[in-house]
Amino acid sequence: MTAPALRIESLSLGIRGEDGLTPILDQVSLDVGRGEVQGLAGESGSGKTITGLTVIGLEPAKSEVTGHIWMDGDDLLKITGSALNAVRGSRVGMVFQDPGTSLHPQLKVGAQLTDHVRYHLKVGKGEALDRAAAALDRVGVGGGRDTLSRYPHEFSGGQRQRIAIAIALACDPAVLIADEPTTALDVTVQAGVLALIRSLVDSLGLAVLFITHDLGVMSAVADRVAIMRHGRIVENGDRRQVFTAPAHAYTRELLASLPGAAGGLRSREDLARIDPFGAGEGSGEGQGERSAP
Amino acid sequence: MSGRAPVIAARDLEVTYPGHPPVHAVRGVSFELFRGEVVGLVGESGCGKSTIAKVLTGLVRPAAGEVEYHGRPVRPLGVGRRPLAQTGIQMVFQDPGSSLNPRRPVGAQIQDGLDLAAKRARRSGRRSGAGPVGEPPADPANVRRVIGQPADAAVSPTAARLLPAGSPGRWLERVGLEAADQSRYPRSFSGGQRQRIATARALAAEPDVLIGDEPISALDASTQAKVAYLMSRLALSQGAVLLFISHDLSVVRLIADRLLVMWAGRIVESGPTEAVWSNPGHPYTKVLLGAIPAPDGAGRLPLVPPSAAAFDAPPVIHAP
Repeated sequence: MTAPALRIESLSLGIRGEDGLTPILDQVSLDVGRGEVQGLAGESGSGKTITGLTVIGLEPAKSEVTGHIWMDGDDLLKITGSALNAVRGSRVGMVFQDPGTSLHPQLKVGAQLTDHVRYHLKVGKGEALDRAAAALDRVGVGGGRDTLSRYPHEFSGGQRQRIAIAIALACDPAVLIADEPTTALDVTVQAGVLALIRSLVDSLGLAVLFITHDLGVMSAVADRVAIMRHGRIVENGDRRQVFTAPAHAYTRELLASLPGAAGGLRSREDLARIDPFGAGEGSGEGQGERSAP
Repeated sequence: MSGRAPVIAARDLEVTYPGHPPVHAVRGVSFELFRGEVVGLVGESGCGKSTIAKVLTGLVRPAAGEVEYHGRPVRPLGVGRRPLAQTGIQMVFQDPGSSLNPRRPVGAQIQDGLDLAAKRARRSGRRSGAGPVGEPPADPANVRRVIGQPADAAVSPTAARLLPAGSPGRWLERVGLEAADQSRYPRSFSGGQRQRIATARALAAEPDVLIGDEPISALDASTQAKVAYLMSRLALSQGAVLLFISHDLSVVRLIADRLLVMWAGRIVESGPTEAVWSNPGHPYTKVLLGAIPAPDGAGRLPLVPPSAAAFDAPPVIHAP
């Protein structure tokens, strides 16, 4: 068996504060194979976003990190400074939740794509433009060179997220980290972006770490699903197995609270049986907000 | 539904926001809401659903048409206070982090609602706590249908029933918190808890119309159904109509008696929830329902919608 494109091994992270070390991640291990979507699901504050950020060295200041993040024999945790910049974007791409903030509002789409291509691939302007147009084509944003001279606000939310994906993939990274890439989108727009991500995985053999709180989205797009809680992965397995025969009590609890899941809420009668003040709330963690469409 | 007077009704509403060109957010919307029902108003960003909520509460002035509340027009909000009679329309907003005042204890904020109810009751010469203005108490049969138990039991099972009904502490208990929490500030509660406090604040004003504008979309998935259920249970036990506005059909489906589906400023489909859910007639409703990914582990990608032009079809109305 070939090595996975990305291997997160026993990753622990704590943040140093005035009253000592606050543990955030506890022994997180995940493999993301080529041509595979590894899902990482959990509620707000479970540590899923920090796991993704740590892979590209964007963990918060004052973090103390142990473990390994392997890519092609390199431990990304041991790479620092400008060498890390070479990893970001060219070997690992990242897509964030809100393309309204991840794209620069005052730069033309073309500039945002070509800056990135020229930095990593050291190519001339002409070739960078060709690559940029091809990258947009790949994500289904048409218009070619004309599109390159427009600003992000001239596009819809779904198109902006496609552009963010085009930028992330412009230098052909082997791994894409997608952190809630469809959460800010309407469901009908989300459908298109999920189909795009899946087709890129299948056609390019991309390895995707797909982070989301939405188990419906996870079920649609992921091959393997890891469930995270309080900084730990409580369950990780084949998608179908996790959804239909969850092994961990927390996974079962999560699914039971969702409409349309196996063992979840299917009718008004099911709703009458749940405790509206229920355990999901009382599990101790602050239930932070996430931004919504 | 004919033969009964609606509690609140929208009549041919048109709303335009200024801009270049102006945004025609609502294009001829009419509906009636009746006592004891939960109605889901669903649609995606920009369809006009939040604008509807604002017009119903008087926060936005319609360009044409009007809102009737107990047969009288709702006056759009000016610089002064809302007319007292209109405080029987209450709203729960999306983000309890910004709708609750961060600098006041939650008990004081619930007390505001109680004071409103008392003031309205004095005006109409009746005791507060006896139900919404000018209305008999909730029809218990109606309430039982939805909450699965008698109205009186719609409180936390652990609640000590010693506090007076009209006290902030008692309201906190009804939403599953403790009376002692009333001196705490919003920041010390979780998102789901804050939304329950916002619900308590709105219901303490004894409204007979409760509008939830995306009240669960800022919450974690496992909390959403619980908060939606609690809102519908408490609103109904008080005899209020609940208009639940959301983009998330899978939760709305569980609590709503009726659905109104909005697209591009119009209601494109309406009818009993199960009829719309199992037999959608309008092309947009079909696409909207097909795009919801089910957490069933099947690995099915949701259907990618065709272009918006395909949604230009006459509205579909299912018989009640």
